Amino acid sequence: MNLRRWMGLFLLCFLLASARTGWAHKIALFAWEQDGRIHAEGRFYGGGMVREGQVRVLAPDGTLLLEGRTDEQGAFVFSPPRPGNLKLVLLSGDGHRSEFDFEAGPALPETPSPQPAPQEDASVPSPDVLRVEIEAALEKKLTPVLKALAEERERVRFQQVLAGLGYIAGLVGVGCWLASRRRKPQP
Amino acid sequence: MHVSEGVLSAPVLLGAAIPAAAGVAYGLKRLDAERLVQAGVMSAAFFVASLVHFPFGPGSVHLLLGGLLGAFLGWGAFPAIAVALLLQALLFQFGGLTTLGVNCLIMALPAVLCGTLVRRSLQGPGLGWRAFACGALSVALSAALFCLALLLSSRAFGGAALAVLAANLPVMLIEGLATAACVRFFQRVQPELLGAPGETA
Repeated sequence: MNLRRWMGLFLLCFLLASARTGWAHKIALFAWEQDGRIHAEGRFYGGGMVREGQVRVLAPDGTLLLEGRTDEQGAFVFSPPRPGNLKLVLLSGDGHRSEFDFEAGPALPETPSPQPAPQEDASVPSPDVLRVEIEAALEKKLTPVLKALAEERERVRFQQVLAGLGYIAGLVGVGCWLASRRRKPQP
Repeated sequence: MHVSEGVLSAPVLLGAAIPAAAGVAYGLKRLDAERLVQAGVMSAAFFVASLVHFPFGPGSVHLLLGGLLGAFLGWGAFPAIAVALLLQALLFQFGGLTTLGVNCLIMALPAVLCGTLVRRSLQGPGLGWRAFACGALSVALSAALFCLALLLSSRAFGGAALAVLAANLPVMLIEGLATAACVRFFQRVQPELLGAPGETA
């Protein structure tokens, strides 16, 4: 066996990997809150949106709260069935599945105001109102960033491909070593 | 073609994992030392091939190279595919650890079966066509096993199963051509690579 030729083939694999390390074939789910409703979005990597995908909304303990299907744009919008964290599951129907843990923001009305004495000055909004407005503004600004982050996290990176090829090369090495040990007793 | 975690029922997962493990064990036994490097290279090719995908219909399809592995490695395709799938699950979250057995069976069993089309005889003018059939049929069989696994878990997957079969038609063509080209090339350049392990020793 010409070892140099095999090394060349390995190199070819590396090149192939570097040429195309885009989205992989699986689905991803992302959800965010907007105007009191939760927007969920499912997409195939390398393809379009997950249309007619089944979305399940679960409580953290796994009980089913809500069920629905994504529209033509791969979106599913619903009112949170109850406050608190939710677990969203997307099934594309062809064996692919993705989960997203939706963390609800702090329940605003329940937080006790630290200053019981309200300021009488009408021109200054109360701390509660301010906080709600800041939360809303932050949410608007952060949603695209969070979306991009979620996509980035799922992306197949070149280093991961290299790692995989390295593992395979290492396994072959271990196999060859074992085989050579087995052969040694024979003179 | 990778089944995600949490989609199939436990009996299906277990029922597929046992023959898959047996296939890997038998493949390792049949794989002699001279073919280890070859198996590694084929495993690497399979590992990378799933990243080459084509948008199709609502989703996307990707290369499998199962027929090619079967043609070159025979039963050795089982461990080669199992290693590649394990790394894909760990590094890319394709499939998953619990679905490793079923994914391995879906991809490796057709590879071994269709590989015999090529390995049966390396002579004759029909080699190119047999290699094409090997590549194309292994994709079709994999898609059929994939659908079977979905249907055994839940009848609700019926429509989706048909979609998977249809989506893999172009892959069949591509894989058939790729397998035929590879087999023809190596048959001319280094025919011992295609021989059964016993023949070369």
